[in-house]
Amino acid sequence: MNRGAERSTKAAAPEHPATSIARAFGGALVFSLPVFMTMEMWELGFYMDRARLILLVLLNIPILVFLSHYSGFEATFDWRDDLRDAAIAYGVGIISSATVLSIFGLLAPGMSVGEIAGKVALQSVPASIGALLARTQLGGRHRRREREDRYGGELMLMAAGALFLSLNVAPTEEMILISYKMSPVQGIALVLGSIIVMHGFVFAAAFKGGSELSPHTPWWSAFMRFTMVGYVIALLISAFALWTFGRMDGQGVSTLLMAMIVLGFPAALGAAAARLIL
Amino acid sequence: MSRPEGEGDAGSPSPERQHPARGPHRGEWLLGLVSAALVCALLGYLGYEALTARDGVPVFVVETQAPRPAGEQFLVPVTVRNEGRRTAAAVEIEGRFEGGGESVVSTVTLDYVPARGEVDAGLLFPQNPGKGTLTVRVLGYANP
Repeated sequence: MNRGAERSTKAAAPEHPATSIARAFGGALVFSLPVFMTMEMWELGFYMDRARLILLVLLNIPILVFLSHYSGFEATFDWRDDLRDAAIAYGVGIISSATVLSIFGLLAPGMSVGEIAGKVALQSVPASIGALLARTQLGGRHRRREREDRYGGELMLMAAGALFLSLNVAPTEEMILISYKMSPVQGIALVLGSIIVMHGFVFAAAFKGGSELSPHTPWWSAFMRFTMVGYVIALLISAFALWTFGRMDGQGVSTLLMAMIVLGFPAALGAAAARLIL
Repeated sequence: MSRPEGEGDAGSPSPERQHPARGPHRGEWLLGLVSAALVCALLGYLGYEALTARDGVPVFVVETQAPRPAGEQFLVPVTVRNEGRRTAAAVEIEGRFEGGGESVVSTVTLDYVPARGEVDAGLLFPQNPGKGTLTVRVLGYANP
């Protein structure tokens, strides 16, 4: 294992904490405004299965810690810093969700506590991920470092990217409507299309560097170890997102697979792009 | 876990080399093969569906449960199953109660009933539908 060779941590002057927090709020808004303005997300806040909501809310914590490890809004060096950054991001996510939902008139005094809590909890998941992503995407210092288990780390990163993008679209009715409109032949086309687009991103990431792949890696090696595995991860994440939002309930096998494939398209894009962007 | 250097591809034999750090782990290839097999299985299933499920129509089976009081009315839980290979949208369900010299009709519309899937719904009646005859049927649907 050779570490720290070409991309060492860039230690810049520490930035003012208020700037970090402001950037986190900005990220929460930029990355989750689409879901703030999605009707299904408000409705899911009060009718979705509570056990699944709790699972999603809890699962978000390790995801945030992991993302913070990759791209937190403070240059973190140990897991305690990552935990703290994740907690701040979650807090920013909750505050921005509550604020935006109140301004939109979606939280009113007459509502039950369960409804308000459900709406805020659900929206805070994409908002908190957005708060963490703000670091790399809104002009924060770009930082990369060597990781111990790079392959496992890259798969985790793909899963996080897939989850973020699928959370953005999975709640909408359009996901299942598209799957109902598609024929099996169109399903095959979408699977192949997702894989091709994904491999394009994998290929691009190999040239960008920072990945375990390099331009010298043969295409079939990258295809099997990253594109194929990444696509299956995207499908599993989309299945999880569909299940979380109750879109799987009462579905038959074919309609279920088709919904996974439809949501798998944005999930695959998210998975592949995460390696390129972060 | 052992990490054989240069396993199965043009990886570097020496760990000191600057560029591609090491050959891929054997587990990475195994994961890749399993994933490829899953994707092939998915494509195979879709291909089979494409060849067999040509012009299916929705086939509805309606199951009702015993009426139970719900507030001031009576609830009849209904499960609509679609045994066909085609998904139906805007599925209209009608429950007709006849008893005690009067007839009451309650309806509900289901957004979707997926192919080979099922949807739970409920019909409400002002009087106990157990004391008479209740017929529940599907009135019609639209293609999604």
